[in-house]
Amino acid sequence: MIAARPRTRQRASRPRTSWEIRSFAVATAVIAGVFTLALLYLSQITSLSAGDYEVQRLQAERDELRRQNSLLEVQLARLDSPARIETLAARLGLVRVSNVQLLFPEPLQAKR
Amino acid sequence: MQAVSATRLRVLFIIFALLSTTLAGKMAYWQAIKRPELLSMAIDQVRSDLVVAAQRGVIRDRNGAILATTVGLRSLYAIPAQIPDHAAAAALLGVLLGRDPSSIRQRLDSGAEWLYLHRRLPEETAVAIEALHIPGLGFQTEPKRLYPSDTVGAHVLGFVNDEGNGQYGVEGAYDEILRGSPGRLVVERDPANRALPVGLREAQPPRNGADLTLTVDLGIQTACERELRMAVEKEKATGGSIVVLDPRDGAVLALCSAPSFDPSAVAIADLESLRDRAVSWTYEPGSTMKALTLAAAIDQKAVTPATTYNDVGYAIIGGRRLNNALGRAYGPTTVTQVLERSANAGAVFVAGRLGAEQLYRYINAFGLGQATGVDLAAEATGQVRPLAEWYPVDLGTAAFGQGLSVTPLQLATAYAAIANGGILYRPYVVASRRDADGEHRTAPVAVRRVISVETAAVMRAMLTSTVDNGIAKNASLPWFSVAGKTGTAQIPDAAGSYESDEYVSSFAGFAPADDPKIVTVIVLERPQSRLLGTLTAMAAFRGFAQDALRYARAQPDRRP
Repeated sequence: MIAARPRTRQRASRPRTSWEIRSFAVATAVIAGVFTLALLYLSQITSLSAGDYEVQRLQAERDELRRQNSLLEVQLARLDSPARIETLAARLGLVRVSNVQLLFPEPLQAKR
Repeated sequence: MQAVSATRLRVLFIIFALLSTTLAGKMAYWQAIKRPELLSMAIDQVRSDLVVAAQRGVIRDRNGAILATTVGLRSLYAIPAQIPDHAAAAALLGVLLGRDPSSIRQRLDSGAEWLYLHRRLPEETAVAIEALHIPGLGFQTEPKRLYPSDTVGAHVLGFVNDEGNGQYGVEGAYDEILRGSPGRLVVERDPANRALPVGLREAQPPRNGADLTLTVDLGIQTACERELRMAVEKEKATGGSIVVLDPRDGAVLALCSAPSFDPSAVAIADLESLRDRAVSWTYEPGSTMKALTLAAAIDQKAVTPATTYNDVGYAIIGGRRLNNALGRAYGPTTVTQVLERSANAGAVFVAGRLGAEQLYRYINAFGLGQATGVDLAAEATGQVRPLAEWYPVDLGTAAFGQGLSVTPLQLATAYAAIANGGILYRPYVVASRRDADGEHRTAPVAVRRVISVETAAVMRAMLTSTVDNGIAKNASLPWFSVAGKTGTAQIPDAAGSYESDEYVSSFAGFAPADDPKIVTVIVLERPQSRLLGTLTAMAAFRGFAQDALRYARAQPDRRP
């Protein structure tokens, strides 16, 4: 009878220790999980922000390139303008052709 | 001692309790009652609500050359407090901006926190200023309407004012279509003015304006403006205009007016120069009207080209004597020779055969006295008095272009009807518009048949003879047949009479005569050479017609 007591005491203390360890483990896991999820969320938000700023930068770059392209189109139109070409030609001393000679196909064909 | 401590503790407790209650109350006040106000203040600090401007449409010529476009140009602004040395900055900017440095310095020292130093800089200047790396200077992009061909086509295009509204020409007539509609962007921004990625974002994109392609050919337009400028300068004329149409559908190939203006610098333009004399100005057509009178009479079979009358130098109608120019008497004259010699008495003879009612009907059928319906702003209608108000003499004067007024464009559309076989087309300037839904082409509008195909052919032959053998000889071209008629008209004064020795000289014609590709009307207002002003008008025609016919891909039909 006396020998049986410590066995009973041993049986009673084992579940309590196991429960505490399990609780601790669960709590730790939950905290770690929440922490990991929080980190993951923060990392997602950070990368989203960084990505969005990059998109904004690229959009600004695209707009600037479009603007530069428009300016180049205007410059090209200016350079192609017949009025400008006439002015430059006159400045170079070129004159308009007074008598343009045209060739008609019929006489050429007759000669052949 | 213990009693004192207990009392102190109670007092302390009460103080803390009161402080805690006050703090809690205050927190509840700000968090619960004042919450919306605080929230709105916080949002206002980070939220920006912007109107996103729509891009104004591009205007191109029939071959795709850009005539008008909107480009973002950089405007230079300054934050004076951040500029370390105002004097040095003003000196550097003065050189690049071409302005007095002291005026720039004055602005920097004005005490303003933020100010524009120069709006819409040329790109080269903006790049040069950027390279200076002066702290406190920055750029903001603003839209600017640019016209790469400078003054060429100014009256067709019109301009855009400082408020962004199109005025005159195509810019005015198509303002709604060109401007589009603005969008809206609501975002939350960080202190660096960047949009927050996870914040509030509402975007309604702008609808850009439609691009327009005109019927105008930049090459023909440039040639016309060159010749008009030379003619006006030579004649010291107060004004002038040239209209070139494609007679096959009424498309406007060129339309110019002098004096002209620079659409990029309207602020310094003379108000009179803004008026498009081809569309918004009227004059008495003079002898160019004879072709329409003869067309009506031949169409009604009142006369034939061979019908002959005896020209004594004048005609009497309604008790009034109407003389030929310079009082010349030509003797027996055919109807064809009426045009060749531009005989006023002959025109009265033909009108007499036709009758006032029929002449009036044909004047209206040719579109005189009414707007052509061209898609340009501020078109004038000209004036043709109602038949009920005509005196007997009006039949005679109307026959050679007195007592009624037209715009150069009206006369060109009437001549186009003769050129194309008898159909009056509505002239148009916009060939197509391109928007988000695709391209929409303008369908030419045939208003009505005015004369028969046969009459038109006879008239083409008679007008060709006028250039080959008659008064319009100076309009002949070496490789192309030309049909046309000159006109010299007096200028009505305010008293209801005519100004002495002041005229409007004009030439109306088309080429090649048998298969016309271009119809043109050239008008010079008050030329210095008076009655000889038509010679300059014809010289202007010769100057641009070769270019125009080449651009219109016309086949030569004559050999010199």
